[in-house]
Formats: sequence, structure tokens, C-alpha cells
Amino acid sequence: MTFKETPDEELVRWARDGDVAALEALYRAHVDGVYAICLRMVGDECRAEELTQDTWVRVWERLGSFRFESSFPTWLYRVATNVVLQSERSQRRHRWQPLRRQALEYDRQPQAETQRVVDRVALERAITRLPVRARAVLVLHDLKGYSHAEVAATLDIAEGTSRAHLFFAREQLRRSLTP
Amino acid sequence: MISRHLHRKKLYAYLEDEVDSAARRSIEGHLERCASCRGRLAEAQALLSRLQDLTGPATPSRDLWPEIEDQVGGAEPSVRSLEASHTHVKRHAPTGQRQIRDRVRGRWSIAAAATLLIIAGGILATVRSGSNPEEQRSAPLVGRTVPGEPGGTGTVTAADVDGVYQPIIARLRHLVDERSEQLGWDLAASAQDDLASIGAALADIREALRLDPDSRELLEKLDEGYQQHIWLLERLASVARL
Repeated sequence: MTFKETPDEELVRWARDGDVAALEALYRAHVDGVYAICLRMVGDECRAEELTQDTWVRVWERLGSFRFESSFPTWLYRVATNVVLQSERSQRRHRWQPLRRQALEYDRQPQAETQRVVDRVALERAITRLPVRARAVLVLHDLKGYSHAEVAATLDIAEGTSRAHLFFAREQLRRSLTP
Repeated sequence: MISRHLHRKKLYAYLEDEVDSAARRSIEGHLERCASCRGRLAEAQALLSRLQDLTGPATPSRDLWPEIEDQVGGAEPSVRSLEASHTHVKRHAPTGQRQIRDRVRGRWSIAAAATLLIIAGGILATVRSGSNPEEQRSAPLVGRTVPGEPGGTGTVTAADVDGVYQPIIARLRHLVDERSEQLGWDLAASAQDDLASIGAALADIREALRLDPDSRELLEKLDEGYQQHIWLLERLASVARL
């Protein structure tokens, strides 16, 4: 059995025992999911990469607290979300920079596609302007496909609060994107 | 005539199939008669559809693992090189002690890097001349003997190191706290992060020392950590005084 075929839980046990190669295997399997959360939350590729790194360092430090009660990705995304929330709290400001790759796409695409990219950038920009809790709920529910129960467990909030944040976030987006 | 429009919450619930069949029939009946609500439904649908565009995969522009590996202090071989040898073989797990030491190394590299960053960031440019940290550091405690120390051997212990440095750190910290407004937001925030990294590294060293109290290497790390902590606080106090 190779690392790729090894279940997450087994890799977590090895990593908890200090096996950095097992942590690397977990990283390779889940880095895109972590990066997607960070990117959608902060809207900036460079910062999303920094936060992705911070998340994996935090995972290494906190693996001992993983109780195998949820799946590893659920726990991992909770760590990632908390890393972003803490970073946002410490920064207390939003540093928006256009997404580099999308800016490049913009130059290369035909007109219809260009409009689609422009719309997408506008949406991502609007998401980064949401209050951080509402943004976290929106990213987890609408972009990662979490149920409200899962969002509530991840962010340590009530399900009703998750629903309220989601409605608020969507309404903010709708208003900011309406011409 | 339609007296009440559908609340947008209800429209989202309808689109996401979160309403029971009776509510669905009622909503659909209303939508047939109300152009305004059909417009609101189309808006909600458009937003969800646009959000759906963002659910695709996202990949970092580069491999982040080498930097992560540096930070977790891993000297282990990479997954790729291990994959062949891992076939049907479970790795021997290191001991808990080794795990803590790995963490100490990882934390320590973060703390050391953070301190160096602060130095590179310009504190040295603003502190008074003659503030070479090497000149100002006291001689390390570890390695000295303490004549008459209870316990017989007179060798310095972790408790001795804590006892010497912690009062100094408390006094310096108080001084820096009093002058923190003069540091400027950016420097203060960055210094807090670096002090937290050093504090975390020290906590890990103490945890490792609980398992291996006689480790000279760990005692030296503790001693060195305290000196770094004091040195950083002294620099911050100097900057705040200028």
C-alpha cells in the first residue's frame, strides 16, 4: 500500500507520531481544498498561499487534538477557517489585490469569456468585502457544500446563526452586484 | 390580488429544496401569479449560479510543501522518495519524546526567523549605537555550577533558568507595555507575533524538559530562548524610549 492509498486516519496517526512524510501525504491529498477556502475568504492568491502554509503548520501543531470524531477533511477545513478568521481579526482590514491568474485570463479570453471573468472577479471581490463571519459561512456553505449543521460545527456557532449569516451574506452580495 | 410577496429567505429555501411539499406547492402557486416574486426568484437563482462558478478546484501557484516542511522542522524524506519503500511497510513511529523535539526544532526555527526578521526590519537602525546583542547578553547559565545548590550536584536545572530569567522578562515586559503606544501599530503587532513565537518555543522546550530533565541540549535551548526573549524586549524598550 502506498501513501496515496493509505486512509487519512492512518496517515494522521503516523503524523501524530512525528512522521513528517505522512503529513506531506495529507498535504498532497488536501492542499487544494485548504487553498480554495483561503482563496475564497481573502481573495488574494499570495495571501491565500501564506494562509495555506500557516494552516498546515497549525495542523502539525494540533494533530494531537484531532479525536477522529469527524473526518480529517472536516477537521482540517475547520483549522483552515480558524487560521483565516484569526488572520482577519489581527489585520482588521482587507487588502484586496486583483487575482493574478484571473487578470492574465482576462487578457487572453474572447469578449464573452472576458465578461464572465469580469463577473467572477466582481463576485470574488464582493465576497472579500463581507464581514468575516458571514464570509466564512458563505464560503463553507455555498462554495464547499457544507450543510448548516457542518458549518455550525466548524465555526462553533448555532445552526440558526449559520442560516442568518448566510442569508445576510447572500443579500449583501446581491445588492453589491446589482447594477 | 396578491397581498404579500414571498420573503427572499423562502425563495432561497425553495431553490435549495429545503421546503416541504405543501410549502413548495404554495410557493409555486404564488410565483405563477406574482411577476415581482418571479423576478426576485430569478435574482436569487442568478446569484447561486454565479457562486457555483467559484466552487471549482483552486490550486496554489507553487508547491508550498518545502516551506511548510521547514517550519515543522522535518528532516524526514519526502513522500515521493518514500512511496516505493512504503509499499506494504508501515513506518516505525518515532517516540513521543522525538516528536516533541521535532516540534521544538520547528518552533525554534520560527522564533529565530521571526527575531531575525525584526532585526532585518529596521529595529537595529533605530536603536542606540553600542547595542550589540552579543555584548549585552549575560553569560549563559547552563553549564555553570551553582555551589551550595540543594540537590547535591550543583548543576543548573530548568527551574534555576526560569527563576533567573522570568523576573527580568516580567520587568522588561512591563516597561514595553507602558511604552507600547510609541512603538507604532505595525511594529507592535509584529513584535507581539514574534514574542508569541518565542513564548511558544519556550513552552515546547519546557514540555520536552519534563520528559528529559537532564538534557543539556534542551537546557541550552531554554537558556538561549530566554536570552532571545530578553534581547527582543530590550530592543523594543529602547525603540519606545527614543
